[in-house]
Amino acid sequence: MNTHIAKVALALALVIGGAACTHGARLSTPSGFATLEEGGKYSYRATSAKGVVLATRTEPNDIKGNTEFWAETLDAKLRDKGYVADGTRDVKTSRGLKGTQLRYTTTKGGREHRYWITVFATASKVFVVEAAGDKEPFDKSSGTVEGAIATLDASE
Amino acid sequence: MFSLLTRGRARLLCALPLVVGLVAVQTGCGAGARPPVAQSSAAYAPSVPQAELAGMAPSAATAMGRDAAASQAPGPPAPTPATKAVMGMPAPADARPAKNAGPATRAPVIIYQGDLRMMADEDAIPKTIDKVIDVAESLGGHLAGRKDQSVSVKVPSAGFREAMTKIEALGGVIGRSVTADDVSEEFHDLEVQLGNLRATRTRLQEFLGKATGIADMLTVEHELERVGKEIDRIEGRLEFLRTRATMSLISVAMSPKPKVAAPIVAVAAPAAPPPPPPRRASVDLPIPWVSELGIDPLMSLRK
Repeated sequence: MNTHIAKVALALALVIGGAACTHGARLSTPSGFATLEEGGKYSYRATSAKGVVLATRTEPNDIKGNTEFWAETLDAKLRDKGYVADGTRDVKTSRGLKGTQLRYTTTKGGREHRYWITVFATASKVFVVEAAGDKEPFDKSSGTVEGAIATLDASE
Repeated sequence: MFSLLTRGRARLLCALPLVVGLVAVQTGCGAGARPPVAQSSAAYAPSVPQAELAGMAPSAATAMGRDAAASQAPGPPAPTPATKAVMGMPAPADARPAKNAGPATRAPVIIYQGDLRMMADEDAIPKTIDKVIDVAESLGGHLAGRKDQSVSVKVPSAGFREAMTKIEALGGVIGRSVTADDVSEEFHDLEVQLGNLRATRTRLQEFLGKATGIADMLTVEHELERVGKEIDRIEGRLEFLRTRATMSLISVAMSPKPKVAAPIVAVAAPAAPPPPPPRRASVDLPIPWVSELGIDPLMSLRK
């Protein structure tokens, strides 16, 4: 009997563990967006017909940095790349996870684009939500983008 | 034969060939260049023998001689009433030419034409053309033709000089020419021919009224038709010359000023671009994904 329970527990652990490894952070795909299949560096990615893209990354927090640390690190990197900062905001997901959102404007193909990056740090993971698009359609979809970020499912 | 005819019929039959012959001499064969009034009555001898005149009844011969003298009195070159009418001058009550008037009284008939070449900025050419038209209209003239870079205006000949001066004052004149075509001689020759032809037509009409035979009537009518056509032709030519002499044509051709290249000035080397903002102090973490962040990989939807 004990052997049987141990087998069942092991199977559940494998299933749950496997699911956790392949899942990563995800968003609820907002209306007007289509989800793209991902298997690479993004754990989730979706796009609108007008090229506004949403994506999440799930990275290990090996150096145990907090959200403020990661926000400053990412901000320094992006400014070095020429991104112009539009501001910083504190955000909170619907599940209560707190993060920091950095907003930038940059030029791509001769046109201005928006680029938002939102970082959430836990003890073991760093969840990054990126959003970008041509300035005009992005600004029109900014409310949708903010709502989608709030749906972050950062289950570890 | 004269004894069988009435006195009036004899006069008509004798006078008709004479009139036809005179008309042929006066108006025929392009004699217009020389006014027939300068010719003496002897010039008509071949076609109208004096013996024939002598053979006519005295009253008829006298009448013919008076008619001929009236229309062919030797050379009064002064403007006849017809000339004055054409030139716009009042015609005197006596329509006959003045015998003692000399060449000095002839009004010259001159056709003036001015050509100007002007240069202006390409953008200012339409405005300059408008000003040329304004000058013409202010002097009682009008537009005669316009293209993108040229304009022709007609102005009253009395204001030709003033118009040229005003147009030149618009500036940028690079060439000018004025031609004065004196058509006085042609004009006055035509005018004299016209007077003679009209007198001839009057006489022919008188003879037509007196003609009794069909053949005579046809002959006179044929001559009347020919004289009428000649009168129309000369009147048309006179009208043409009068119009040309009354209004002078001024043509202005515009050309754009060549664009002056900007002077070459020693220019200091372009200012160096502003230095990039100082890099923020950041640690170079051994975390690859941080460097991968950005808009380019994010928006590249291809795997």
